[in-house]
Amino acid sequence: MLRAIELTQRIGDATVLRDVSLAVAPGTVHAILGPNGAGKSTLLGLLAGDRRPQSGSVQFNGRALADWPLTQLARLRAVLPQRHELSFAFAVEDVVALGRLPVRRGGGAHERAIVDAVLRATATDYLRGRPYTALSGGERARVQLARVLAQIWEPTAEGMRLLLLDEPTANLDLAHQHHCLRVARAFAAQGAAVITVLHDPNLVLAYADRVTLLCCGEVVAEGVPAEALTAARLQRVYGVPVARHDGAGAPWVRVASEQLGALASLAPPADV
Amino acid sequence: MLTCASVPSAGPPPVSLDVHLNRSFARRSAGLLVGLALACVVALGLGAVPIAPMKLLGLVGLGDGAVLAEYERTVLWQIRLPRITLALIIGAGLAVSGAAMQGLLRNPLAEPGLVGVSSGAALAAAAYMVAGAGLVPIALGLPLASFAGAALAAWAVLRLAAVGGRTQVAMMLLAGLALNAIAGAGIGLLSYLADDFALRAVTLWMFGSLARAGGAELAIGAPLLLAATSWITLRARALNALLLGEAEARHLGVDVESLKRQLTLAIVLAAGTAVALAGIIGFVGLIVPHLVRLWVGPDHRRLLPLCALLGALLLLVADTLARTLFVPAELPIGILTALVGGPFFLALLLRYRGGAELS
Repeated sequence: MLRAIELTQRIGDATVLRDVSLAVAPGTVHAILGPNGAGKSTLLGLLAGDRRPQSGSVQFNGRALADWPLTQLARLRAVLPQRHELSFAFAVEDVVALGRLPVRRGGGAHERAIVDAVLRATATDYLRGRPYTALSGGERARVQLARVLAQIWEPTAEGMRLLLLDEPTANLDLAHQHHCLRVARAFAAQGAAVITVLHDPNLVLAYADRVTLLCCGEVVAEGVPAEALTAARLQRVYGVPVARHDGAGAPWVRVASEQLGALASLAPPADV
Repeated sequence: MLTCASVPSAGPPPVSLDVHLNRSFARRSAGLLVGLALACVVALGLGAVPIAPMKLLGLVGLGDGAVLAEYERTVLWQIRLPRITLALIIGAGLAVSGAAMQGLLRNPLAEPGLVGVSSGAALAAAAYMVAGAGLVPIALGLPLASFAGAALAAWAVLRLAAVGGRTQVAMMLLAGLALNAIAGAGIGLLSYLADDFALRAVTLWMFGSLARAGGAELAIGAPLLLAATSWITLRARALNALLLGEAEARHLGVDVESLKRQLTLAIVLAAGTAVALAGIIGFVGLIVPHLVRLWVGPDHRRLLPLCALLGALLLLVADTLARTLFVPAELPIGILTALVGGPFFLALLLRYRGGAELS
């Protein structure tokens, strides 16, 4: 169980998060949704322990996050950042194997088997021998996803595993966006908890068990996506007209662009 | 489900890059070890007093029965062996600390000299040679002074770069830049004030030389250099994680702040000791890791041991050339490494320009 209680974070004079609480149970995918600057990444940073909140606390498996020894935490919790810094030409399979640093039990054959399994599960098997620096942005993102999955691939008796993803679909094409979230769902089905920052309400509606809708650092709604993401709320949060379609399948939303006003002219001002 | 562009083209799978790099590692290690053994025999034999290889092999029971004359023994044990040992250890230390610095800063162009270690040592050494030697004429005064200079410069840069309990890399580089400028001005001023004898000593020191190497230097320097170099080599896995980024390394369970402190200490110890014993020897810390990455990739578990071997070989060859090219005069070794290293580095850059990223 991961539990965040009334997190408040100020950066300089600005309050970027105010009294944000959430609880994520094993086996669920929890999405964090909101417009640019809503505080999504800040919240994920607090949940990852990268920064300390000014007030409030984060509990992971019944213990305050700050009290976890780093190596023990790393065996249960993996974090996929938004940007990837690696600029050295590791082979793809070696990048994935870097995820095994905190675990490494069972020897070489076992480790290789895990790297193989993760590469297959993330459909990055065919990249395994390529140098990481030769990959496209989307391919790099998929390899990094494989790396964080490898880190907590095996269930342990030490507690619930937790995967934190910061915009995992940002660089991915349509097919890989869905594949990525299917992988996240499958991983949650193994008893882990997944928290993911997303930008697309339709991906949240399709794949998340619960959603926290953030706006200006505050929780606007929290709950099952189909109930939390009403057209009226999305319209208020994003400031654009939203139409929601609850047909036979899963609900989906779209921007009602026919209701949008005309843009201010982009043409240069006419000479007078 | 995924039937799109991600499907590989047909055909047999190519040999994995990792397997290829592991083979390359084994091959290169063996080659370097053989090269080192040969270079040692040649270096022991060459010099103002030549010693035949057969006589050297006789020392380990392999020769043709020829024995060393008394004066040959003296030259071998008192002069050449300490000097060659020091060349090997300093070469390994410079190359490994260069590689560690590049990993620490996640920048393949970094070098210990960048953060002021060398110039701090140079300033202190110049001050000692121009003014201090007359005041405190103690044994090992010069290496002690330059080591103190290196340590002081490193301490100052680290203090300046420590912001809110964390070491900021950009701040460290900028502070190093400023410190280099200040030390350069100080050395200039000292050179201006120095008499001809001291000026020549300062100039020679700045270009590096192993000529001062003796038993005492070896006894103090070797354990320090070996300890720092092996400690860095033992942290290869953590250094790999650091290449992913500092936050990523922390998420993998690495205590990043402690690792950065310890690595910096080891780098300063290795680079500072090297400078203290042999003056400034450029390019080894930059070129060796580069070359080795082209051979075996960026994984520090392969990179660091090979850097130690290649650094040792390179410095031994350079020192042997420096002391034998113009007998009885000696060429400063720093001039040789820069003369060979500079064009070599340019050639590397040109060869890989437009290819894969330099790393």
